[in-house]
Amino acid sequence: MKLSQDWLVKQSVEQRPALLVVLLLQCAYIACKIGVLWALAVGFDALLIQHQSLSVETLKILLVNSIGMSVAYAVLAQVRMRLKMTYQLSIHQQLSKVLAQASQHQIRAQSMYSWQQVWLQHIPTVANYLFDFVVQKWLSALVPLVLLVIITSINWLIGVALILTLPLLPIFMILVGKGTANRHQAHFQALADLGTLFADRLRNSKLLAQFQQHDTQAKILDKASAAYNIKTMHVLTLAFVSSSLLDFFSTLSIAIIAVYIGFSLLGEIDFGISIQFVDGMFILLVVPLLFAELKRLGQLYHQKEAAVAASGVVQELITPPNEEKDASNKSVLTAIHRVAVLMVSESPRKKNWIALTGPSGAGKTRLLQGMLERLLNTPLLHQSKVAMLTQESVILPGSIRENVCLDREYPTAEIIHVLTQVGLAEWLLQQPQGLATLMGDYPPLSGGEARRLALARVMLLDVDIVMLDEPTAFLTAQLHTEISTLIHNVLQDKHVIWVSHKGLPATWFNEQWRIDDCGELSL
Amino acid sequence: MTDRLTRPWFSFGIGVIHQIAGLLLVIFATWFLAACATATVGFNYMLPAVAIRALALTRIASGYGHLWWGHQRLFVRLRQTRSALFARLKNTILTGNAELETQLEQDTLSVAGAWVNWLVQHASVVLGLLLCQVIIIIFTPHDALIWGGFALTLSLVWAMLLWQSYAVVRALVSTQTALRNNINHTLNSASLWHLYAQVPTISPARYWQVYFQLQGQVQRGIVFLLVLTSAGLVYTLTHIPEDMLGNALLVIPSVIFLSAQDWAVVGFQAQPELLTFQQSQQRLQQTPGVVLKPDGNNELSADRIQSIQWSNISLPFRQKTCPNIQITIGMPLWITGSSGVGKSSLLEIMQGMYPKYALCQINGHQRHDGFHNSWQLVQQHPTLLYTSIADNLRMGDATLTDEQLQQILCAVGLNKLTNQINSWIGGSARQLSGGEIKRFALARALLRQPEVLLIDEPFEGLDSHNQMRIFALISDYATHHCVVIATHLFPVNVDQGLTLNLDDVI
Repeated sequence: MKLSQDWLVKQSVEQRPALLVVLLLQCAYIACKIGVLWALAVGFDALLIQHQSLSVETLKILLVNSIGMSVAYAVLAQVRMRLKMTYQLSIHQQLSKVLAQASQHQIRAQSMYSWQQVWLQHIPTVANYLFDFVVQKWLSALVPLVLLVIITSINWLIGVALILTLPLLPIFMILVGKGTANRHQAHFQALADLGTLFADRLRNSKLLAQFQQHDTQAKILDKASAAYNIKTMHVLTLAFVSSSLLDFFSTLSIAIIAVYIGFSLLGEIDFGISIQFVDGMFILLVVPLLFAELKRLGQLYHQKEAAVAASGVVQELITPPNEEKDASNKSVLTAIHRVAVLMVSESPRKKNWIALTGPSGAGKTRLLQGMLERLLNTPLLHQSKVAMLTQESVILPGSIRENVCLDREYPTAEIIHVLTQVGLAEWLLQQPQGLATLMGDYPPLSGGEARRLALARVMLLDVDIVMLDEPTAFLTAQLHTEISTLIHNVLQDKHVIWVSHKGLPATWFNEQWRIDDCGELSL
Repeated sequence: MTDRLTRPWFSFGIGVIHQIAGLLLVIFATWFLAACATATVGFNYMLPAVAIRALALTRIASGYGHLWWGHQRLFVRLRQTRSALFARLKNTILTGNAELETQLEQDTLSVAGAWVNWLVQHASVVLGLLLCQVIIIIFTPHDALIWGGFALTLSLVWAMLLWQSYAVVRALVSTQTALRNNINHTLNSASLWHLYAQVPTISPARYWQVYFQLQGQVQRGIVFLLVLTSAGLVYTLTHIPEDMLGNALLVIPSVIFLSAQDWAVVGFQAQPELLTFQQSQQRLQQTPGVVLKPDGNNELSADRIQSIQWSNISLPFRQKTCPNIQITIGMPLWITGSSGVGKSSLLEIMQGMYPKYALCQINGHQRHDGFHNSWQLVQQHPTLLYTSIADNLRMGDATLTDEQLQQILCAVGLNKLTNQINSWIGGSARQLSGGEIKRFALARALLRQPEVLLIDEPFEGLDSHNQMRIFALISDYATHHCVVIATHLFPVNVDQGLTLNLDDVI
């Protein structure tokens, strides 16, 4: 919580020039609005007291400020959106950089839904917080201050009265708001909990149908809703007092000022300060502005809460994780060193086949991932290139060609040659559009065929080292033998490190590595 | 009392009163000031002063009331909307993507919030426009036409922007779906990134552009409003008939134009809410799902099931057909094959989830199609209900004693849960590992003592010790019941007996 708030503060410092531009435009808009109100008061004075039509001077002020107001607003809206977009893209860029370096483990650690929320929700939320809430915070302090100075200079009695009431406002808001903030949070928590319960029952539609629990759960949900409604309304009864407070003050001050000035003009009350109609009218028109910015801040308050939560997620993602100094890291170094020695010392023709075994959970996958990261980031071993084949075969929704070539280009003959090597020639012939056939959400591939395709992908690349992380997981014993033999045949000219739970002929390998329960590697 | 007060028109009325009282207060206060400045002898100032204070109090009180009853209304509607949706989805299996449930939850919130979020807002604007028209006709009829023209233009601009925004919202939905897919595909292929020449990145720009386009529509409406009201203000100030000079009533049209800048804004601001509501309602009405048809055959409960045969089986999304399958009591059937070959779909078809994909005969009789909900299918990735452990286990039979629950938990090797059966699991509560959930789900299914038990991948993610334990449990159950096990791996040294290898036949 503290950390994410710090990050938000840092963001608002970094974005300060942009925020000041927005603030400036906001101020220009409000200044023009005050100008319009002044012209209006002067105009009324001419029409009512002097029985004349508007002077050219007044008309000029009115027109210039009216146009200025509209233009300022239009520019403000545009600039604000542009700045938000730029900011969102810059955060996205930072995130992409971190993501490109992230391990698969890091990516898998979060559900797809929470990843989606990062771009759909969290990043825009932080942008809204900066360009709406933070600016509004400054504005709600600045505008009342300037207006009070103006009002006091016109009529010190009203000015002093307002100055005395305004500090009351924050005090009231703090008093009522302190308790309310907690209760408000409790309210949103309850709403979220109820939503979670509802979404959970929808998600488990299969389970409910299976156990014929629909009616029971419907009753439970309805009861929970009813209980929640009663509880929440009790909480909100008080919470609304603080929300209504601003409305209360602004409404009351209009009423009181209207009556006071009206009676002063009539001479019914006299505090020793004479007041002109034009000044009185201007004060009456301008007083709502005193509270308007504070009111708007209140409306935006939820943005702050949301931004703190969102920034917690975003900031955690774009801060690279600390290097893990544990056994697996040591093992990675040992392994890489060994690979380097093997590749340099032996005759270049000779290819090393290494079997890596160990109990489940010992960190075999982590070791391979660690090696992969090192090998990709520090091109040692004479610029040798590396590829890895994982437990699950990923099939992209694009065409077969895209699936095999990824973002590279290869001649069609070469692709077909490789697909034939992995035994997919016949399968390819069955596909309606050949290499251009789209895989879509339900690729027409069996488990074994998907493995062959993944193997073809690696074979097309010109790599020296292939790491295999249980490439036959989730396959039957029969298919395991078939695919393993295929891999053995097609990867003869590569260095191979192979992790497998299932048995492989010992004669394929010239080196056996073992990893123990603590993640310690023994060569 | 509360019953009447939660009726829609009450909260609606109070919301409108709140807006109108504010509008009247501003008009009245300004007129009062002008009247005081131009007062002649005998001007009764006490009555207007009282009226101003009364309006202020009305505004404050109705403001609070609107908040209170508006929310009351929101919660009542939320409860109704969710209950109605849930009731409609009885015996329906949702088939949308992973976010569907969260989306539906948000949709119910948006539909329930429609009242507070845009209906009251829009109604206040319309009533405000009409009220001002009436006031102007009564007090300053020379400006009646100009206000009428303004109100009409504003409505037209509003409608035009709404119509334009509708297309933008549709684009927003489609770009959002595209972005979701983009994120899914990019992150799912993380294991391939090192094979790319350039690591693939997510591209949110298009979605954000459309999002800002929608915001831009609202802002455009507000700028329009500012320009129109400013023009109205200048016109009313410069076109005062000679005989009105010095008459306090002349301030009314100008003040109305000025105040419209504040209160008419909400009409534009609430437009996205209106469109979201529309989209949400559509989604709630067209929830994608498979409706289960219960088997509804009583013959089943009379005779014990001795054997079942499925014929004419076809698997969805796979071109080839599957051979007929027969099972009998005491002879468990093992369906094997590599992942992705269709084992899970086959089990669901056997239970009758998709009746048209197979014909099912029990004890040699042709049976009606339908979903056999008295049979139990333990899913490959079972789910837990977000509730207590005990309630999860008692789903099939509410009368089970705590001892029975503890006994079955021990039988599947979840001894550690036996002394906390009243604590919650699933959802945001305690999480179990994949292997633990599997065993938990098996325990839950066994408690119901189904005549037919279908189990999907029971050994995946279990260590060899637990694999043996589960194998023994299933074998024991299979001696007196019909059991089908789909698996790609077998515990070491087991004799599985009757086996169907889908890799061979499909």
